[in-house]
Amino acid sequence: MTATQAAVRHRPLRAPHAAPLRSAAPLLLLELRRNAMPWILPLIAALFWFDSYRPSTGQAPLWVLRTFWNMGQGHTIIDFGPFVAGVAAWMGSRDARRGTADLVTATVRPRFAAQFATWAATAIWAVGAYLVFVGVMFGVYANQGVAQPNVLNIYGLASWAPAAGPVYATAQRFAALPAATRHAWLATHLAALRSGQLTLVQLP
Amino acid sequence: MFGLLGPNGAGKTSLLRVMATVIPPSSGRLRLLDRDPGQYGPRREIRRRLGYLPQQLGYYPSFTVADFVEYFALLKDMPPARVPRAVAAAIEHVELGDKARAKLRTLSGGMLRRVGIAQAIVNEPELLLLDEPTAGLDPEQRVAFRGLLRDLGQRATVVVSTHLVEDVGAACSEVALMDVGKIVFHGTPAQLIARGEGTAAAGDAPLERGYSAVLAAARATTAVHPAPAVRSGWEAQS
Repeated sequence: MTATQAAVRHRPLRAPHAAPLRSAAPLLLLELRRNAMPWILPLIAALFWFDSYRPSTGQAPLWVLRTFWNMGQGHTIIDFGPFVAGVAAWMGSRDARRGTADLVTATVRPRFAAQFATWAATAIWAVGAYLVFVGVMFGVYANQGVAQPNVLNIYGLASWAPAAGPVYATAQRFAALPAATRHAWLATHLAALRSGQLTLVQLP
Repeated sequence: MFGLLGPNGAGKTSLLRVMATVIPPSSGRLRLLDRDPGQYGPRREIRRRLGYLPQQLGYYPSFTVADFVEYFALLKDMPPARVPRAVAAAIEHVELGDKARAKLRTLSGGMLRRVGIAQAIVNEPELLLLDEPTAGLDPEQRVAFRGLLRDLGQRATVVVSTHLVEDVGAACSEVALMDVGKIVFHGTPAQLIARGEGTAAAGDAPLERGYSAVLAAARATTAVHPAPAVRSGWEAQS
């Protein structure tokens, strides 16, 4: 090809730009606003209600048993899994479907960073919805008078365990996760023993 | 403003994609903004100063105009504090201020092209690459669009690829004509018009006659001195 030149008005050598993490947050917020996951949540909620909650009320009114039925048997995950995977695939293929690959490629951030933001937004919606649905379900159990103290223990544990992580992390970096897990396990069983439920149920 | 003219299949879009650092050049050497886009660091600096409107503007129908422009401002690594102002300015510049909260799926083709321009100029680029910006627009929209292009040319170096010679005549100070992947003419629109004078080249307007005359001359030269054949993989196998 014949060489050709065109005059260009130059700006200073380094144009102003953002620190990667600082601009990642607004990008993530934008992706959260425009994610497809919220559209599918009513369907998952209905499935959760009919496939997880209602059949679980047929179990004995013990939260350990109901929790095992929901979590251990994987009903709640089964309700979520296919939809989350489907929406993630749908969102991940957005650039190819919409023909924006060239536009995204010609930007400063690597294309995988844009796709990571899309994935992260989908995952945050999915995990957030999962926690809310499970929390509501346990809340309903508690209001049914089913071992309310233990439910409160679980809520307490959920807020206490992450706080314990950094404490362990400062003491010994690589021991943090197993130590926090061990403590969580101990706290759960102590709470169950205190309320006398651990002896009532023999989990398979 | 620099106009890149040529018939369909001349290689205009490929050249612009190379200049936009979307694809690497298959041969030769490319320098953009005094930098080598083949290296990671310089390529990032080039992209920071680049605006690009592809021929087929892809968009996300559920995004609003403001979301779409903001999305690309953030991908262009603009400081977040500057983004809202830059987005509003870009949208105002393309006269879509009243549509800033409209979903992209509700916009007409002409408005979508303007959204494409807005995302291209949001980072105040030094080099703006526009591939067929007036394609698919009605005559009134095209006239308005040329005015916008002239305005953009005051702020940045604009390379416009088109096969519509009237776009170049109306807006560009320099023009290059491509055929079969080669630049066969480089000059001003007046020089291109001069090449068509006194010839029997086809065309209704002086610029069209110049365009046809240059192309005919280039093809006659190629016929006498054909370039070495370059065959792609699947052609070589067939």
